Amino acid sequence: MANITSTVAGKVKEINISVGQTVTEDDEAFIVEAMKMENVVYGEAGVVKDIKVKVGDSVEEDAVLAVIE
Amino acid sequence: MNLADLFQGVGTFFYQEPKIAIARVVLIFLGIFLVYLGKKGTLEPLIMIPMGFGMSAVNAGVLFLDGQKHLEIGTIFMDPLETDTTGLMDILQIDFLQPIYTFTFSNGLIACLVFMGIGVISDVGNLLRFPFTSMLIAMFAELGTILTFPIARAMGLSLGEAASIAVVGGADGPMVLFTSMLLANDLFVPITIIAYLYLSLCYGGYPFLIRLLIPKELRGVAVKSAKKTDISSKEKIIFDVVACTLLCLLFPMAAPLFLCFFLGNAIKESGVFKYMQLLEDVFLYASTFFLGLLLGVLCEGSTLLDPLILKLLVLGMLALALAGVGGIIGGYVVYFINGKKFNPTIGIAGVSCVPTTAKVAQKEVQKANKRVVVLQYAMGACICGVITSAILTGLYVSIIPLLQ
Repeated sequence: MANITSTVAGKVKEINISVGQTVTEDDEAFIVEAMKMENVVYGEAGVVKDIKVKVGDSVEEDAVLAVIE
Repeated sequence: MNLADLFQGVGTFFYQEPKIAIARVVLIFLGIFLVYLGKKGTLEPLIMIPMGFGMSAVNAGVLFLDGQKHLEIGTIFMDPLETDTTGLMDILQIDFLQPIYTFTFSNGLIACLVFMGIGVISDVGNLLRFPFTSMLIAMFAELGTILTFPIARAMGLSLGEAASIAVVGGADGPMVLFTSMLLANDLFVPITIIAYLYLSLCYGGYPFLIRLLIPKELRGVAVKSAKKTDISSKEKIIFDVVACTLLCLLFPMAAPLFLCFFLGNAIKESGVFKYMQLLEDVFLYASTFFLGLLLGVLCEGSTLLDPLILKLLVLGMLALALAGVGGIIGGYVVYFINGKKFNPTIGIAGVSCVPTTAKVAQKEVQKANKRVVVLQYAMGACICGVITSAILTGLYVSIIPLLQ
């Protein structure tokens, strides 16, 4: 089990995964906007168990965005 | 009455010195070209669109100011050269941009307002999280600001002019305006315009510099943040107050810049939302807009004809290139000090074009290794770069008048 954590502090702009989906490390799971720049947060290999954020949420660096099993 | 009086914009061409008339035509088209480049996104639209329009309009809208005598030729935009108080009062009632020029340019107010806005959008948190790294990189990135000065002197510029063009290496438009107003008053227009032109080009040029100086495998190095410390807004305000007071004590000539930057930042950190909106949405954008417009309007035909322009073009480019190289050297120094666990690309962010250079660093790193994020380190260096540039500006404006 691994978590997808935010690489930067910013605002969640896009969520490209859904619960139950199988993701790989190359999937662009989230886009977090920081300082008017879009940062891609890549997935971890596994199945999405829970998504902890929604579009528009402010997240801190290292915050858990999704739980992967 | 002849045709020249009826269509004065065109008519004046024939009563001017030919080289000024030609310069006017060139500037009309240059202005239109800048608007085009601004719209396209090649250059910063926030500055270039008002500046291009101002440049074209001021060179087209030339008229005879003395009726049919055809001796005095000018515009009803503004007259930057008027120094006589009575004359100025007359012009203030005629030229529509004169109030803004007289009350915000010559005293540096417009530069300070922009700086206050930059303070509001800056976060000193990353600088306080990585103080050592940020400061080291920012100091190296001042290479351009320092080295350009002796080179400009060797090329025959006066002390004040050399210092003003050297400050371009600090990569802050308002700071260049502030310095050149104080030290090279008769050349502040070309120097500031060159600064803004080149600063817009940084975004395109620095990636090449990075790829040239840093091999791909180093560009992809992940930075391990040793500790995750949160800097509270209380700590940030303490930093603002202490840094502002100390820097004002050390460099009284640049005290307005320090006050505005740190005040803006303290307002952000204290969460006075209405003030934040005022400073960012109103002051910053209004000042940037008028800065662009007035710089354009100041580009009259005779500006282009100064033989120093060519030297200034070369030196401005040199200052920014050296700043970039210096920043990258700083990045390498941190890389070796940290036992190769640092990404030297971050060095470019020491050139304090907030937040452009930090974004350039992040983009280049991501191209080499898409999972690596260095934005937080880059922002720390970037904000620290603003402060080191302001310190160097302070040094120049304090020391140069003593040498003259």
